[in-house]
Amino acid sequence: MNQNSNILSLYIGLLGLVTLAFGLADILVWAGASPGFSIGILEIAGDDFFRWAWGGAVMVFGGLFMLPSMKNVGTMEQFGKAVLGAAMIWIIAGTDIFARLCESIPAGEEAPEFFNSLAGFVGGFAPPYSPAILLLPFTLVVVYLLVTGRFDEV
Amino acid sequence: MRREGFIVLIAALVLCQGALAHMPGADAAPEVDLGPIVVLDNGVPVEIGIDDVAEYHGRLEGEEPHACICCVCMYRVLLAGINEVWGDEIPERSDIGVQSRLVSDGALHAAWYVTGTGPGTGAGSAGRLTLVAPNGSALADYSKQVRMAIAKNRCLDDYRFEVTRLSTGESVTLTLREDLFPEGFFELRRAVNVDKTATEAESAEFLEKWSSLRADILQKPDYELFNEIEPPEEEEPDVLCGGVFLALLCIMGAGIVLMGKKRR
Repeated sequence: MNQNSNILSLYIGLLGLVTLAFGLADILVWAGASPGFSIGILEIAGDDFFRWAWGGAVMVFGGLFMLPSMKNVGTMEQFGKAVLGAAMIWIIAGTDIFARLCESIPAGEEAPEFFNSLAGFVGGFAPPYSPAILLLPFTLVVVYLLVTGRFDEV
Repeated sequence: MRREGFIVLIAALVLCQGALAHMPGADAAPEVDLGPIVVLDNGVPVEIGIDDVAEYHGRLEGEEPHACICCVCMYRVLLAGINEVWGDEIPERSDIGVQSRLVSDGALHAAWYVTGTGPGTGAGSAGRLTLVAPNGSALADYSKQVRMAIAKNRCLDDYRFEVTRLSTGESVTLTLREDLFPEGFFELRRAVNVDKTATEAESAEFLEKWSSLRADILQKPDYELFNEIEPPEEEEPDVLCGGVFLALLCIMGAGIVLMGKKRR
């Protein structure tokens, strides 16, 4: 096992741990442990069952897939687990981004016009973001290794 | 993949379907959660909800608990008025003064209950409630007969209230917005409730308008109910941050596509 492999294992492990923690936080906030919170660009509203409880469970599974893939991440089977874990994040982040897209197209309820202005549309993508969206760029490493097929070279 | 891994995969995929089925931003049917009026009764915090007021109103009327338009209206007036005058502070019940031109049972009972000035409220302290006649003078006689005589000619001007902090004299006047009332509401009310000359169709129309008005008073925000309350300022959209996010998203997508093409 070379140094690159160690670094990648550590990276996947940390990503899995953070994903697991965010998933649990999503569920706990929905369950009422907190009325919802926003720190910097991170926000967990916890106001909707499907998004925060179910979506949180998907994130938890994402973390659970990634954590065991730390060991021998260079093998096809182990890297496959990391990809599945990352896919869980993509699904939740994808639905969050799609939600923002849908919400940004129409103008507000009070506005007389139906379509939002360009500024309003772009502004709809401003922070704060859900944990899944924040984790999205960190899964690019997995995407890179998947697309280039170089996971067994590290 | 081992059997345990396969089970975890299946469970995860089932959960994914739920997440996709979620339609973010789609609210359930509107629930009326006005929040309680919180007052200090001799220093002890007391929460008064719309249900408590409805129960008290029903009890005094000898009926089941119910919240009529006037009940709901007075509740919203007190909720908004206390918020305007006291801000984040919790008022002492004895420090609350209310003046109302709306002299109906519902309004009177709601104000009695919150200020602790009515019979059987169980309050340890009491504020001050003044009903005001159409000519602007304080009503001396709160009997049903006198109030009913005034109520015959009810109009928009009767929906005028003043909530006062007795210790400082600070007060807010609240009047209901004209556009809140359905067209012809007061004429129909008079025909149905006072003159009793309404046809069946008119009675049905009044009932519909009455229900719609009550729902509006229950559900609309303060600035859509009262002339004196300004709507909250709309936040300017953060175009820069939103633009950066979209740009990064596009770069990310393009990068992945290019990587895939290069590989081929």
